[in-house]
Amino acid sequence: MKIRRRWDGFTTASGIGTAAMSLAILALIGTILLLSVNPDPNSGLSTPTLDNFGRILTDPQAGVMLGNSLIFASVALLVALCFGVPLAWLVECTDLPGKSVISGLMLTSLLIPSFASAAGWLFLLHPRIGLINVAAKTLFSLHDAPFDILSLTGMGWVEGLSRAPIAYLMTATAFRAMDRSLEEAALTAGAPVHGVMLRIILPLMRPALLSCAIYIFMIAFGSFDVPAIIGWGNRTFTFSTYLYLLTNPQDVFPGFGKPAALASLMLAPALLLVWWARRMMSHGHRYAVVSGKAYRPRLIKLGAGRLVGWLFVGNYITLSLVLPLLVLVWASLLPFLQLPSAKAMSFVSLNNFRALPWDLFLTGLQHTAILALLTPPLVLGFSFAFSWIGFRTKLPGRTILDQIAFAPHAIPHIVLAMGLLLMALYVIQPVLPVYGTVGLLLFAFTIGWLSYGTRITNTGLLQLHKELEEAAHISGASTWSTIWRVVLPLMSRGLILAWIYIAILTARELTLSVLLSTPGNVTLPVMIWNMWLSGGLGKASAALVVFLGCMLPLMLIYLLQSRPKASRQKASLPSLSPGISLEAAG
Amino acid sequence: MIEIRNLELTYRASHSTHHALRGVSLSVPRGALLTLLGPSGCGKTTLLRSIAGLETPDHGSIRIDGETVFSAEDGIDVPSARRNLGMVFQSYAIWPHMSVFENAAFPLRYRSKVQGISARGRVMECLALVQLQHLADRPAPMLSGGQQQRLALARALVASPKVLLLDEPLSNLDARLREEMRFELRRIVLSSGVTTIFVTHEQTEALSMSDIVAVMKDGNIVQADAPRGLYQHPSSEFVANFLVRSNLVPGTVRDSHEGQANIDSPVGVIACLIASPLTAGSPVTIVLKPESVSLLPPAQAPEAAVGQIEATAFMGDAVECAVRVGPIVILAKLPGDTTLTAGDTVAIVVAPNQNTAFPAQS
Ligand SMILES: Nc1ncnc2c1ncn2[C@@H]1O[C@H](COP(=O)(O)OP(=O)(O)O)[C@@H](O)[C@H]1O
Ligand SMILES: [Mg+2]
Repeated sequence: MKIRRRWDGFTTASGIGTAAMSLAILALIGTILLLSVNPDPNSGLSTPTLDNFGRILTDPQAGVMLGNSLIFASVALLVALCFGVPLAWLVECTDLPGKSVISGLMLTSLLIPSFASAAGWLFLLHPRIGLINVAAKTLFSLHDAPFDILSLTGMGWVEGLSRAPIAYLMTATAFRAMDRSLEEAALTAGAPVHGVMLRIILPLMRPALLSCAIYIFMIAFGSFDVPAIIGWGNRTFTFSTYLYLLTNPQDVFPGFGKPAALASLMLAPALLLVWWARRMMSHGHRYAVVSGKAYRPRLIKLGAGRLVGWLFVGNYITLSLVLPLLVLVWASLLPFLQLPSAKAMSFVSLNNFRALPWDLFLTGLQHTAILALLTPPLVLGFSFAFSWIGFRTKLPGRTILDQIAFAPHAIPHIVLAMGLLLMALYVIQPVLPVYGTVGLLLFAFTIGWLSYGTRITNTGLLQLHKELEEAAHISGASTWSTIWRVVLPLMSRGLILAWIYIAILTARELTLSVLLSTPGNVTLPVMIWNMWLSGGLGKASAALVVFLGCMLPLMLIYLLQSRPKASRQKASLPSLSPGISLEAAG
Repeated sequence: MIEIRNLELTYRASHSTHHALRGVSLSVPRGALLTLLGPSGCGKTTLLRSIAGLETPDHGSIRIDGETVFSAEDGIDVPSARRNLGMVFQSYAIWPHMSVFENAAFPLRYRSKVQGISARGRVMECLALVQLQHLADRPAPMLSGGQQQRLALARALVASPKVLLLDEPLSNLDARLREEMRFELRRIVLSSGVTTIFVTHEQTEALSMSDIVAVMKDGNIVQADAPRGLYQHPSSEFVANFLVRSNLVPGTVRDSHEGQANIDSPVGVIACLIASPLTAGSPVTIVLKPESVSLLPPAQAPEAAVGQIEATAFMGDAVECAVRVGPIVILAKLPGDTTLTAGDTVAIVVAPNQNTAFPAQS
């Protein structure tokens, strides 16, 4: 005879919460699939057809878009790996001085929204107005601009620069977890450094590098910010911007069937790829021996190479942070973009700032602030519930719950947003008028960061020895009290960092909100993008500068919090970065 | 005080199942210190956790102080928090974000009616019992292993539980500290008068500390008795051999009387105790304790079997000798001042009625 233990309040609440959230995610995917086989959703459901798929497959623009996305994502991947992997190697495996500064700078460039750096790079390398192009043309009396940021390579370059921190964080974790004694054995056996690199390190790192590559490629493929800022103007579309265009065509009444079909076509390969990367990562961990011992690996002595190392670091920071941000500030102070000169200085003024639509700006700021305040507790609350059900109950089907919570990770944000838009319009709106509310955005963001959140709470719960909780139970504490007095305090460091990080991600998110936004729930990034499109680049730059100024306190708190504490030498960075969300997926 | 009836528990993982408890029944009188002794993996921790309500058995029942806290048949399962127990975990499970005092005071918050000043007094009393009162304000992670173990004990006792459960509390300590703590632990437990179940895989620990020793094997309790009775009258070859690392000597029954038999063996005729009646001529195994064997010059014991010493090991207070007699090798434990060395020929004399013979397992 089987007896069932009565569930306590917290576990019951978690069960209901996770079940509801899982249903919402499945419903979201289901809505996309359903609409993709429906010729005309506005006139109700009809017999499913494959017409929409036919229309996508025969659309020449879709073919161009696919090619664009592949080239764009490949260039971005290449750039990200070329900067991120050597940087990780420098920090983890060599005696380069100033490592904490480097990891701080890498985190900073992780946090800077990529639409800001994209705007900066546009001002630098636009074929007509780009400052570097203008300077090069006058200096070398060239006829044509030497660089073209509007090309796919140009866009990939910017995307890659802003994804390099993810490559850095993921490979740094792998370097740290690698059994360094193997490398040392090779070195003591007389192998030259580059030989060790090729024969020992690369094969050992292969699973980590491959899954990192898949992850970055997928992010870049589904990226919206950079193609939206740089490519939209001359109609160079990639996957996300094209989907946006289809969902939001300026001329005709939106027909959602075609974008839904396109999104469905993306879902299967995306889910497969992420699942594969996740599996590979867990395999990698199986043979990358992680020794818990306080063993300090011998660091490779760079000698004079330190200078080269620092030049490389400085180079990356200049390209990803200093140059684009400086030129952004410069552009915000001028009526029209020009090279710095005595004449240009006479134009410098705060006019762009004064001309900002401040009341609109404040409304946007208000929405963004509400979202940044409410999203982290919601995400972490749901994530904790998912982890609790997964690791602290024997509920049948709990592994499926974990897979569902991981699914949003594989879905490009623009697809998520479209699913929500369709769901809001066709399913929820008749019951509850959610379209155009901040609440809908809150829901979108909660789903959007859920997989990141569950990686954090999974790792946190896994690292807690179960007996710490059991001791509290035996002492008479209920599940609620145990969580409040024992579990949460012990997980607090990781949770606080995740909280701030999610707040930053929320504040800077453009993709998830752009499809769902109306004047009633417009956020700052959406507002800035609208200003950008309407042509006032100087004014948009001013708005961007003010926006970055608002984000600065959050970013500073995050950087201060993420410094490894002296008492606990275990650096906290790995469990925080979004890249690592794949890695911790045991 | 504690009545366990026919407890069964099977662990089910995705690929395998493990039948960890196979019908365990056990009773512990009020105020007694019972030790669960058995090789690692035999289910001791599982049994302890079932009593604590941390595992849910598939069958059977558990009563504590007259109250049924678990019964699979009646669908009763009182949660751990309401079973009123104290437990010391093998990992100690000291909360690292609290001070020593806060750790020890935690159960009072939920269990006891005493609050405020008197609660503080009770906590300090318990800390004094384990000699940690001077460290009350120290952060818990700054304690040594022995101190953590004592803090875990204070925390388990502070709310005056009905039952104290200890899971190998001494196994993480070094040998010296472990011997000291053995007596210390018994003193503390006796002075608090709480009914205690103590888990260990070490024979000496079990024999020296407990009122009752229950020997476990493969999810069953094979024998439960006072330490002396267990030592003298083991009921099976497994118990006898597990309590003292012994020689297993084959033999045949020559004649048997009540509870006793003379056995023919390669070491001569040995007078043994028997746990069950044996017929003459039946094959047996003698569990021969090394300390019951003495080695003499052959001239002093002309009747006895003769063997040759193969190796000796000096242990300080004793010398262990491996003696070859015909086809077998016997381990003998001699006083430390013995002068025998390898190669010597000796007569083997076994003290009568100190060893037990069991029917040979075919
Ligand atoms: N959570 C579990 N899942 C599956 N098997 C388990 C689990 N816990 C213990 N076991 C198995 O049950 C058996 C008994 O374990 P345990 O009670 O811990 O033994 P002991 O404490 O006597 O060393 C062991 O073989 C162990 O591998
Ligand atoms: Mg155990």
